[in-house]
Amino acid sequence: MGQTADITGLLVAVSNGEEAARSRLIEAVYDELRRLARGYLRRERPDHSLPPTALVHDAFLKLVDQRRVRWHNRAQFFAIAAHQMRRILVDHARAHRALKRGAGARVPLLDIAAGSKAVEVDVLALDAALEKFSERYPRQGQLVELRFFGGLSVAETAAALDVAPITVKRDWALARAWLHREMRGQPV
Amino acid sequence: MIPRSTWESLRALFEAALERPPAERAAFLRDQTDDQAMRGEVESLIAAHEQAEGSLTESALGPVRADESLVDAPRLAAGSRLGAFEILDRLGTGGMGEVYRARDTRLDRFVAIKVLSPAIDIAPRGRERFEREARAISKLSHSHICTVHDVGAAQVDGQELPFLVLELLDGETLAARLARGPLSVGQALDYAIDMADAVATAHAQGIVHRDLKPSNVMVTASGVKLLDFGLAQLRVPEGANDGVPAAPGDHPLTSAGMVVGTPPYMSPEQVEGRKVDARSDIFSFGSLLFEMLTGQRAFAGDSRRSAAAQILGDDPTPVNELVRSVPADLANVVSHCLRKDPARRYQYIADVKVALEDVREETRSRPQAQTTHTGSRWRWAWMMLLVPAVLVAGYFAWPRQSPPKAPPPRVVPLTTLQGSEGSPTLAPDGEQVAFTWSGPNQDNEDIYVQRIGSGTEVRRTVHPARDFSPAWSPDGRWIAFLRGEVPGRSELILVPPLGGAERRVGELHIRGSYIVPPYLSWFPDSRALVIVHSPAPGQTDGLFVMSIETSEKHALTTPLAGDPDHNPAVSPDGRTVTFKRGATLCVVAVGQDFKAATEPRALAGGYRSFQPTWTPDGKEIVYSQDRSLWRLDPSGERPPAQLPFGGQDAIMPVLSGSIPGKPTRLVYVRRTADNNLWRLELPAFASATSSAPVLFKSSSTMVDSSPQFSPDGKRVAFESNRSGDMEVWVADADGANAVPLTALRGYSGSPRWSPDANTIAFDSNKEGQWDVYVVRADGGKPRRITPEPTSDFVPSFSRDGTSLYFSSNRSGGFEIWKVPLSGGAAVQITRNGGYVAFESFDGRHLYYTQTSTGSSTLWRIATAGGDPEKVLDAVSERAFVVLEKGIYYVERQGATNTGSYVFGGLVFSGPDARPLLRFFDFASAQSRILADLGERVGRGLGVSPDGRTILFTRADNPSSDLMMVENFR
Repeated sequence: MGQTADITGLLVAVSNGEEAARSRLIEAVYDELRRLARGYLRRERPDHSLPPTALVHDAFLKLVDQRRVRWHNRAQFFAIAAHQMRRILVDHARAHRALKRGAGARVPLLDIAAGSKAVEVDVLALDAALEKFSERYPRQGQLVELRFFGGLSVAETAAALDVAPITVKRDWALARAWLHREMRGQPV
Repeated sequence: MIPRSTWESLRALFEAALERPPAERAAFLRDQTDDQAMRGEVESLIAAHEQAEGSLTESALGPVRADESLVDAPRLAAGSRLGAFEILDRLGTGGMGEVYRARDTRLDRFVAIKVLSPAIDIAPRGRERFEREARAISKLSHSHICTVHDVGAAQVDGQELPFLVLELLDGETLAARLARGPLSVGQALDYAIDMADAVATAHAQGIVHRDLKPSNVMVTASGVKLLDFGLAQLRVPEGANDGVPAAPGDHPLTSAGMVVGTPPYMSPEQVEGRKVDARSDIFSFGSLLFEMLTGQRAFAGDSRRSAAAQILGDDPTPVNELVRSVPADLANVVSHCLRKDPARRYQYIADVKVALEDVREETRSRPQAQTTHTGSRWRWAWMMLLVPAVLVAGYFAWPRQSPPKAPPPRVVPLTTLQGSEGSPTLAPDGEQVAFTWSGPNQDNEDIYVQRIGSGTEVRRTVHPARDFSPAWSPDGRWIAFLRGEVPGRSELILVPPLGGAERRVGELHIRGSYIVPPYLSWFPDSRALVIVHSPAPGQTDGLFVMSIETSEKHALTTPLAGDPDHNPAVSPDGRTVTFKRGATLCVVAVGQDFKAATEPRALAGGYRSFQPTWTPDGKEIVYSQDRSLWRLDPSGERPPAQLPFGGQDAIMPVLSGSIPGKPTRLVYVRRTADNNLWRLELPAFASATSSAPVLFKSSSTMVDSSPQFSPDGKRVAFESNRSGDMEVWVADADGANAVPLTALRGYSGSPRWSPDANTIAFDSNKEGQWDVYVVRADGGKPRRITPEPTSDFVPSFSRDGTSLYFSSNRSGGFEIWKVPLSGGAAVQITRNGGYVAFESFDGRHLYYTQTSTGSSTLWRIATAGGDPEKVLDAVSERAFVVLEKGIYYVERQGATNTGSYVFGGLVFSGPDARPLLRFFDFASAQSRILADLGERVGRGLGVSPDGRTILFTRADNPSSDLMMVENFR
């Protein structure tokens, strides 16, 4: 499959130090994720919705030839993919916010079956808060991106960042409080 | 340990302080550091931490919503406490504040908490008044008034917030209901009489509502409930205008200390700011009644002032002139309520009630003409007892039987709401049905209940999460349903059908990706359910029995790895459970201990079937197969038979229970999709394109699919049911001049052209079984090629035009056979399963798929004989065409043989399964992508001989409705 080879190859190239490959890799990942995410960014029929599990995770399984990459390639892929996923969601939220203001069209909800809690997250507010957070605490910002936009589990995040899982948990608790505080204080 | 970074110091302090009891934290922090900024930072983070408990949930792309809550983020976070109440989630907002669902931790019940907006000016005296009013209202006890349990105040964000504790109602506001259209006269009368009674009770105790309007009336399963009595005592802030846009420079119509109602429903005296009494309620009541009957506001200004001006000066059109079914007497009652001068209106709401009751008596003794709907899309008359072959060794198709003499059962639509309704479940008395619907905005799947025949539905759950798979308990006490996600975690919740608090039973996980509802089935004692559950990640979903009393669950079945057991249905006597395992339906006997007494046994005839349900006598199972409804006898004595209704669009059947003297009802979901043919042009042979497909000129509003170009590229054959039955049609290559080629009045399709373009082969079930026919391409009488009593279909020509390939189950399973057109015996060609075939251009190989729906591997076998070789991994929905240089095909990326299936006529794909048009080049043995075909691509693929025009099927506008059959036998 042509597409898969590219991304794996690019990944390997980037980890070998070929920085020129990096922007091509980012674009390729972005395209793939956007295509995958498109199904979710529309409202699907409700009587049998197929809620996404980890989009980024699935993309990884699909796009990257596992035999050819080592752990730090994976970490790079996830970091890139999570960031691209964030881009995609933010773009989508912006586009639809513009739509809503203009034509009064109802904002289509990301068709992701809600989890157990009912509190809503405003993507744009989170993005802005995360931007601020990452300026001060870049590594923890990456953690949030991996967990929230990349959907990685604690163990996967730990592997990607090369820290102990307990560190991921502790950092996540504080990061979440920080972001929550920031988002609640944001002007409307 | 010496912290090395700002983050780590912060985190260390944060964690240490959290461990201390809240009262000691400030002191602790002072001990730890002199840095005041740091202390303040940690304190605010701890505060945020406590509130953040429920937010930023950790699953990927959790409940992310773009921008919804920007303007009105909930003031209270889920999980926070307001005195003895634990806040759960926000139900709504209004002009006066927000309403939350909460749990009273002392009484362990669910309530609604109305938190009044701090913008409301409650001066100390006003606060007393508010409490006094609340106390007076709490003494109002009426079945149509929302009970006020308590009034209190709490500190939130440093402010004191008064709040009301109210009865938690499940349903929707009358405003939401009226947004969908007016009520019927009968329904409006029932509601109005109940409301009048409620208001009369309040008036008798000296309480005037002052703000009667549709958003202050809740419609619940047990009728209407009035909200917010007397709360309009409080000054409404500017801007809280209930959806009526304020004109620039407008001022709220108040004078100091006087109350303000809601403009479109205010009485003239309210508008003028004069003294208001009980007769003001009567005017607002008239406005309400007007809107219930017509669906429009009586005084609908487009700015506050003009609505007010209308209230003061204009008389609305009499209701019976707007809606003809409204009797003149009723229109008079409305007008009488709406008199400008209070002295000329009804003086007592009790009199209004009596007047309405009189009207109701009148209308009951003179019932209006009923309109009945009958389905006309199916021809039941001959489609009796069709029996295609089943995939069990030794079974062959049964010969056609004569149609029964009884008149066809009547099919009526139960719901025709916009969007998709599904998962019906019937109350034990068959008089009500619960189902899922995504609501008028299609934004949140919830459970709705309809009293059959009433034509209106009541919303039973309001939670923002998905509520699905409802199941009505046999004793009628509960509707069980799941809240959560599939695949994923859900909660099993019980809710009383007629109103009342939800009860959470427990949690379960369903991990399989392609499992459709239902996931629940009750045992007849109504104390336990069969559920679908996977106890640990990596474990295939199996059937479990869960007790609603203890919430314990134990396994009922052990599924085969990778093949979930689902769609359970418990027999009426509770001794057998039928369910879907893999591709077949099974039954398993259940002992007294609710554990399996035997191994599950596969049922004959259950191949590719879904959603079985039992007949009330427990002797048969009704299910959906290939979008039609079937019945089978688990003992195997009689062959499965197709039901004479439902046509090709029916899924999710449910039957009402056995009640002596009452006919059995069957309710099912009719899935409709407008399947159309789309055309895509490629710039050159097998070259990629990003241009968009266009609708093929010939596409109708019915189902069109399976297109095939003639060998000279000048014409196209396809299947269409635009005539009422699925027939083979032929059109010019551009779609013009479409004419039917067959008129067999059965289900005929899968057309293929002979190499000389003179003949078309197709399949049809006209004779009660599937057969292959040929017909001259310019018209004529079709000739049957396969007279044997087996299922033979999906024909295709050999390259030399002398023989036909087709798929047949005459050897037990479906394989490709070949028969000479001139006559002679058929010869079996494939041995590993074969459905759709194409002979190669040079006649040396046969390419074939193993399934007719979903995704299948593409194989090839030498026509001279030998072993088959795999060519492609995944070809979807019969969509491949073999040309000289290669194969055009549709691949559902990421789908596997079992991963994709047809459900209700639409192909259901997993998360990565985008339908791509690809070309497999023989020369290079490589496959490349030509185009992305978009969503909901269906069956078949047509490619012009020059490889530049592609025809494919797409299902547009899918929706589903509930249909009911009375007198099911």
